[in-house]
Amino acid sequence: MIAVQALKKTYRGGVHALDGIDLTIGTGMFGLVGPNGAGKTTLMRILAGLLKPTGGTVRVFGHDLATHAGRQQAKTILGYLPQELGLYPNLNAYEFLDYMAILKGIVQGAVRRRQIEALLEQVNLTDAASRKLKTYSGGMKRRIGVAQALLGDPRFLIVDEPTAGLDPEERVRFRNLLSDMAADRTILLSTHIVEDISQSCNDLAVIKNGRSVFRGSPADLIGAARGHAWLIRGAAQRPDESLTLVSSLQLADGVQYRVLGTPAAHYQAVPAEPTLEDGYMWLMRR
Amino acid sequence: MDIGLHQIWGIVRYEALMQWRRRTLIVLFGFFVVGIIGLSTLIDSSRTVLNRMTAVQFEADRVVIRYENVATGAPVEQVLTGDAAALVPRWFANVDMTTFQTTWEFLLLLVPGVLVLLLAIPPLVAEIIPLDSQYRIRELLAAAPLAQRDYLFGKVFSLWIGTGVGLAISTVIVAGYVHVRYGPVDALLIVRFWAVLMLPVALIMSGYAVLLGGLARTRRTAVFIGIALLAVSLLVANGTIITAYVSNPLFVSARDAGSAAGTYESLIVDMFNGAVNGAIPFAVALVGVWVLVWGVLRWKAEGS
Repeated sequence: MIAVQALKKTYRGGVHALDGIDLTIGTGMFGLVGPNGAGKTTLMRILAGLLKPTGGTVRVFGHDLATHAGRQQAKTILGYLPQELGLYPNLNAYEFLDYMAILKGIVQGAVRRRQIEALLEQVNLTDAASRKLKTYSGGMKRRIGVAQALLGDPRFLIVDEPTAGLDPEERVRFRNLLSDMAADRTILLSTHIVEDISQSCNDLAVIKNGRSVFRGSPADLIGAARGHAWLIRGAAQRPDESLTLVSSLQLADGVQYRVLGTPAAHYQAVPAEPTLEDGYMWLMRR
Repeated sequence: MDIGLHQIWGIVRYEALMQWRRRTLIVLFGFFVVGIIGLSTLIDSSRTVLNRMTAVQFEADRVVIRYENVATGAPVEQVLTGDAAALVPRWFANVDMTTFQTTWEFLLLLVPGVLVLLLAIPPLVAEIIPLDSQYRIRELLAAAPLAQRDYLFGKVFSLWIGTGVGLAISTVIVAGYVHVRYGPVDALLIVRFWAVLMLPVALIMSGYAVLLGGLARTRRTAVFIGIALLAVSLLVANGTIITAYVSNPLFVSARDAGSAAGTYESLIVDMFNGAVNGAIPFAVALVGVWVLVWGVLRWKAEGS
């Protein structure tokens, strides 16, 4: 259980990244969405024990992150995949994972070997395990990042933009992998790809300007946009600015716009079934 | 094994592997070996000494010194009497002159080599900790249950092992070269020279470089810190290598031959003692630097 109360973070220079966040996260996959600069990465770095909060309390499975000892204890049950992932270019995948496993405190060589081989299999890199990481493509590096986060079978997994750089097949594979793992652990997933959230999370929060502006299930967020999503076809001009344009699709006989709001009668708009993206956009618009 | 020790050992293992693959230490010690062999060749080409001492024999009222002509190998004998005989150190009688001379020529050759090495080490190794930032791996390391203290130990020990092994291998290579080219060397004395003099000063300087370089945010700043440490390298060299150079038995024997009552062994021990005494303040300061850097890194991590 992750318990965050009145969490604040102000950086040197006076930038308020988090402004009183309250969250309780249980077992399962928890999605964190929000625009750039909303404070998602700051929140995740605090939960990973990399940043000290300015105010409020954070407890990760009972460990108080305000203390050094608490942070060190929390790190023993943590798997972390940062947004900007770095790797040692001169090590191969197996060596890198072995090194990370040692740093995570996996002492027995046989246990490390077994875990690394299983993870390489899971992220589909067994054949490239002996290649140096500097020869890896962006997607392969991302997969190694995922594998290192899963080392040690962590109870709490923080993944920041995990599917960035992955091709669609890899993305689905990784999403399923996370979903399988979420049964008996807490996974915090931050992403800009709303589809990832809709496909894998049963609980989510939307952060904006350092505050939590929504907390609930994907269905709740979709429900927030119900009655506000519309399709407008064949309009020569873009819909006016009172409507939020979600997407535009070029068709053979014109353009189809997907909008949020209350379109004027002359648009002849047709109501649409809202999606999670609609719900998110509607929330951001308010 | 304690998890902290296990983590330190893991860092040492993989850092050493990465250092090997980065080739920094290989290049460093490669230049060391090539430089010393090149220097010996240069000295040989300008050598004016025609005879090499092979034995010294003390008799009642005279000293017989036997030489070998370097060019032809023909034996040459010189007989000293009176004051000239009194200037020859008595302990010359108890050493194998051929081995003695070859060994000391070799060790004196090592001195400028180590001096250059001391100057080269700091700029080359100061980048080791900032490299983690350059590879953007610091965040992963910080998310692991790894104490800052163990991280520093791992980094410094990995470099020390690399430096020690590199220095040992290059010394063996140069000693082998000297043995083949000039004759037998006193291996035990060379090992002592390596363990008591060369290794400690190399470890001290690499320790300063890694620790102080670790305070830098970027690799470039770390290299500048390494360059600034050249002044410390000169001070360390002055207190150790230079001390050993001027107090080695070869010079002592020439300077104080008539009054030198010591044995060959006691002169060597004196020489090493002088060098060790010169190194102790820098070793103590290194411990202080270590604690300071550990404190700063931890304060940075805590304060962020």
